[in-house]
Amino acid sequence: MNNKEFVTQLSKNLNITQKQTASLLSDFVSVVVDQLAKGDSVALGSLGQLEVRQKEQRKIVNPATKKTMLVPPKLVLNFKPSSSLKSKFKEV
Amino acid sequence: MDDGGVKSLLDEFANSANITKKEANAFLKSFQNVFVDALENDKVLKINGLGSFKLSLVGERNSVDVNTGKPIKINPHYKVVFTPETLLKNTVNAPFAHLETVIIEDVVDMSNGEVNIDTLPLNEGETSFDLKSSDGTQVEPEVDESEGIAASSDKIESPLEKLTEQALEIKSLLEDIQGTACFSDNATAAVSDATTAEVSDVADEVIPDNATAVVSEVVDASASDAADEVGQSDSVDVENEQYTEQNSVESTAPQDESSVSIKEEIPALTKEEHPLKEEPPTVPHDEPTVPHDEPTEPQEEPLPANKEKENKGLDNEMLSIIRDEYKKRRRVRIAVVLSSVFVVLMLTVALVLDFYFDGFVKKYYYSTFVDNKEMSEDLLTEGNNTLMENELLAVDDDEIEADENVCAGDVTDSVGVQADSVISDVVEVEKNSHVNDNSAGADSRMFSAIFNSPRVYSQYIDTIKMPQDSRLTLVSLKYYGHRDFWVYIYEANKSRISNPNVITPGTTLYIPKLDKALIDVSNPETIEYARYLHDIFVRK
Repeated sequence: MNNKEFVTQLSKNLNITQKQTASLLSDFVSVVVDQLAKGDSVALGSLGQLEVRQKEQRKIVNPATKKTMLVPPKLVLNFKPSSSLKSKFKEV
Repeated sequence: MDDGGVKSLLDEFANSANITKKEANAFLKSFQNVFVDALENDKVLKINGLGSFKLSLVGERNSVDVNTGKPIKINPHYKVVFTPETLLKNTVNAPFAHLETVIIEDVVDMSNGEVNIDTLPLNEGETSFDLKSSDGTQVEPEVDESEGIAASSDKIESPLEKLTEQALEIKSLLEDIQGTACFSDNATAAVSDATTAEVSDVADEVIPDNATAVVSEVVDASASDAADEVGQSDSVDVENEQYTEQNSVESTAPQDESSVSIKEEIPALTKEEHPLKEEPPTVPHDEPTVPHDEPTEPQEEPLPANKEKENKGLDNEMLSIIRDEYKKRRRVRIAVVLSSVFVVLMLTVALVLDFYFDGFVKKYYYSTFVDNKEMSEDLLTEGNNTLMENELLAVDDDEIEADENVCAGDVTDSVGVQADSVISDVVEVEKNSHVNDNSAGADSRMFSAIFNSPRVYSQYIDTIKMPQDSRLTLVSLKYYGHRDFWVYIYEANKSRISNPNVITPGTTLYIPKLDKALIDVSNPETIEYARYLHDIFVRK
């Protein structure tokens, strides 16, 4: 499902126009992104939470040149589904 | 469900969207529902600004129950995977965005070991990148660690330096010991040198000098010291002396030094005596009992008088014998090496001459006998003879050179004789080879007459235009039955062809009529000659 379909479904669910839904969604997303940019994790209720994780620096060796390189630490976004969501998709 | 995180999120969301908290809560609920529905139905959900959520299938796998240790089977299931948008990824990673992958020198890894691999790169990071304060606090303690490691490595290095110092001390001590050995060797060396006529003369000259009271006393003293030292070193280590004897050439330098020290003790001596003074330690030591005609005898006679001297005399004899053998071996070695070098040199010269004159023979024949279609055997032999003479002369010159070399290199006569014999051998071989050439080349000369007669292309079989995608070799194959005869076509059309490898299609080519003997496919000589021409043309 792409963003447009999602907005459509959401508007049906909320009984408001798609335009309103789209603006609401974008507002919501921007709030989430702001939080994530601060490095905080964002709880999405029963879905789970989006969290920022730091990946430690690590050494790699280029197999072609055999050069050892140091990859710097970085922050990555991770989605941690809640146990309810997990169990929902447990059954295939 | 409505935990603290969600509440603060909803508050912010309500503020930014200008909606009530209730509406915001309702929005979140419906968001969650639609989210789950979308994943259930489509297994993919994309939200602009966030990224995409996907359900990915995790296949069935075996595992072990952590508690019981029994193998269990994990059933296949779906798992929610979130892939953030690139923009979001970058936004999140903004604090570390300035960091780049650094290439670590391998040397650093090798020298510092495992511990420093982690700490040292951080040093680089600190120097090359300005980490934020929060990161800086992380880095600093580790840097301290690395410094501590560096300090410890210094500690490791400092004892090593001490060790090297100790080693140097030991080395100097050893050198001192060897110095005494060398000094003893001075005596032995002097004795062995005394075997040569020159030194015996010197000894004779020295004796009258020693007749003067002061000098003889001082020299006697020094000589007795030397003898004592020699005796000590002999009693201590005979093998050591043998070792130093082997290095006699090197020990001559210390010998000079010691003689200098003796000279310093004897200021009364004039400079003229100094060169003679190199040997005195032994000469006066033998002096008290014996005349100096033969330096080995006097050492034997004082045997009953002094046991140490007995040992020394025997050693000296042994050493002189060993040294002579050594010298002989060395001479033999030099002679062998030089002679072998000579043989190789002469062989190469002979080969070069052979090669050069072979080529010369051909050229000579081509230039002189091209017009004569029938070559007489007399002329041939004459030519060969003259050539042989030239060759011999050249070889003689080389011989002379070789002799000069022999003289310069101080090689024994036997080597020269060997070289001469080798040269004569070589010359004989050359003669033989030329005889063979004469007999075998009779047939080829008939052909060479054909080959070397200037080819005049007056008659033509055909006139063609160079086809597309064709070559001279193909044309040759078509008209003459062999690819290698393209050279004649090229020769006939030289004015129209600049490069035989590149002929513009459409070029008019005259296919010349050739002597049948020249393009006889069954005769390998014709092909050989064509290839010879080919080489010439292609090189051009």
